[in-house]
Amino acid sequence: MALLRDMTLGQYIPGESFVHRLDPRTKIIVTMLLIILLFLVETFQGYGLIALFIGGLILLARLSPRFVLRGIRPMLVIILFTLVLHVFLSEGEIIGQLGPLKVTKEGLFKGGMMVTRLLLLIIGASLLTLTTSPIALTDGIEAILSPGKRFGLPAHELAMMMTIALRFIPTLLEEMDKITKAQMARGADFETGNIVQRAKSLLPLLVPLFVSAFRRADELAVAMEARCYRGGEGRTKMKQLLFTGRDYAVISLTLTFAVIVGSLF
Amino acid sequence: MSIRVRDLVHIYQAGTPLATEALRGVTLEIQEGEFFGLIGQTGSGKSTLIQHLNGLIKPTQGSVEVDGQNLWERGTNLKEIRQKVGLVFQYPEHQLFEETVFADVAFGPRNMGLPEGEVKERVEEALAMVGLAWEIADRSPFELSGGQKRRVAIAGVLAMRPKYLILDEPTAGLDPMGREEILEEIRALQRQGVTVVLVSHNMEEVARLVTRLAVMHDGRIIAHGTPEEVFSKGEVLEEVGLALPQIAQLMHRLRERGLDIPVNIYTVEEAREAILRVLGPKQGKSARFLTL
Ligand SMILES: Nc1ncnc2c1ncn2[C@@H]1O[C@H](COP(=O)(O)OP(=O)(O)OP(=O)(O)O)[C@@H](O)[C@H]1O
Ligand SMILES: [Mg+2]
Repeated sequence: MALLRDMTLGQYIPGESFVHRLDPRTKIIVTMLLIILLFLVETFQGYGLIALFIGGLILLARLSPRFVLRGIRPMLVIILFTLVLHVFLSEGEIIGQLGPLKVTKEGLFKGGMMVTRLLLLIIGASLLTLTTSPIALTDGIEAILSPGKRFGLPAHELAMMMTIALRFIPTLLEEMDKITKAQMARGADFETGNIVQRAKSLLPLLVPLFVSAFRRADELAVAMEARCYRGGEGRTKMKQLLFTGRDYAVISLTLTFAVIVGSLF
Repeated sequence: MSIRVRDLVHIYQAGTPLATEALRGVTLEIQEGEFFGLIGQTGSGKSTLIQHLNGLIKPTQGSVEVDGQNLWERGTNLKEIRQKVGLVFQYPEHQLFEETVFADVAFGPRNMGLPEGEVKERVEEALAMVGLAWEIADRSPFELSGGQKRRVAIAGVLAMRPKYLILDEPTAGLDPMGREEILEEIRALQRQGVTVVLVSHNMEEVARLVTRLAVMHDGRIIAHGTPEEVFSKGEVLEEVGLALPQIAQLMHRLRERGLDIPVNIYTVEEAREAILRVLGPKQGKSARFLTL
């Protein structure tokens, strides 16, 4: 469970760096561009350049690279799984054999690509939440989605839902940590036994976790209503979002970078 | 036989920008049979400290020994330690999960691998200890009142028959009556020979129950000893935002005014007796009249 605590996705590290002070819309747009780019590029040279770009952002944000990299740990299982699937299940030139499993050159290549892509994706996305407070993040999402309001898109509600979800990830992890300890204090064992036993041993965690998630949701709803929350209609903002020269510069730079890397690799 | 903590340091999320030094060198010994109190303001490190006592979290530095056995030495069976050192978390009712009260209380004993007959015996015993009727055993824990849930959760730890029982703010969020009842039951357990560690930030509560206490502030123990010893350092406590129990404050003030009165008094009843005694029969009479 300590592993889950390392999840940097959804966590915010307050700071005053160049990246922290960018408009949230800028950071969302940049993240989106990077994500799109990651799906277009299919060469390691391209990924190398994107990695450099993201590395630059981490430096600008004055985050410790080690801390950002820790965010990958909880995802390691998924990443390894992807790698294994690709390496063993791709058709092509066989370069090794492990019983009935064939390792192909194409598989190795594709597996490597997918893993690099996933890693960059996770790091890129956590960079956004690490440098943007949840409030700024909602404001940004809402502003970006608001042109869709004309077509009935509930931009404000969507943004609010996303923030609440993000906001509660650490809380639920904390809760999970506490419940895990409380059950361990009663002799619960989450580490030994076969798969069925282990799945069963999760029940004492999951039931209280769901109960508390519902309780929290309920309390939050009441607290919001008690403060007259009525949704987005006619709601004003204390902090108006403001694009500055910095933001235009960063967006145009990223866009140029994306177009060049996207078309070359 | 005792729980011994030496130079304990604990840093949460060490090596990250979010690192928090929750314990900064705590040394402490809890003797078998005593009623030990741990007080301190919110965030002072109480919960962190007690989670070390049954090996739920690993010290960043320092050592923890239970009955002479170092918890983090190779070969230590932490499961056994956790049975010996029962820990009741803050708001323990949040960890209830079974369909019936019986099954929930039985969770610990079953994890210990006891035969079903013995499990039943222990559940019965534990429910009785926390003052719950046996009829409640078949009900769902989720349909009970807050106070009843709390008792079920405490029973879940008692059913493992711990030698040391640690309770993290067991009365938080209860009404005065529920609070008194739970404390009374804890006291009864201690009289039966269970070593009790009570975490609290309520001075009144701690003062009248414990035999020894330690005061935590900012990850350190800043005072420890019998209640008299600790409360005689009123300024130290006030500096860290903890006030003496009100009655003790009154006694201290009376003493400052030259009254020859004991200061280790924490209940209104005792205070009244002591004051009347000092005032003597004559003045005492009119005073007695006044209080009526
Ligand atoms: N799981 C955790 N991860 C990170 N920091 C933590 C964790 N648990 C506690 N802390 C931090 O450690 C410090 C001590 O917390 P602890 O819970 O031990 O205090 P406490 O004395 O029990 O407080 P309270 O009276 O509020 O229960 C606090 O600064 C807290 O924010
Ligand atoms: Mg606590």
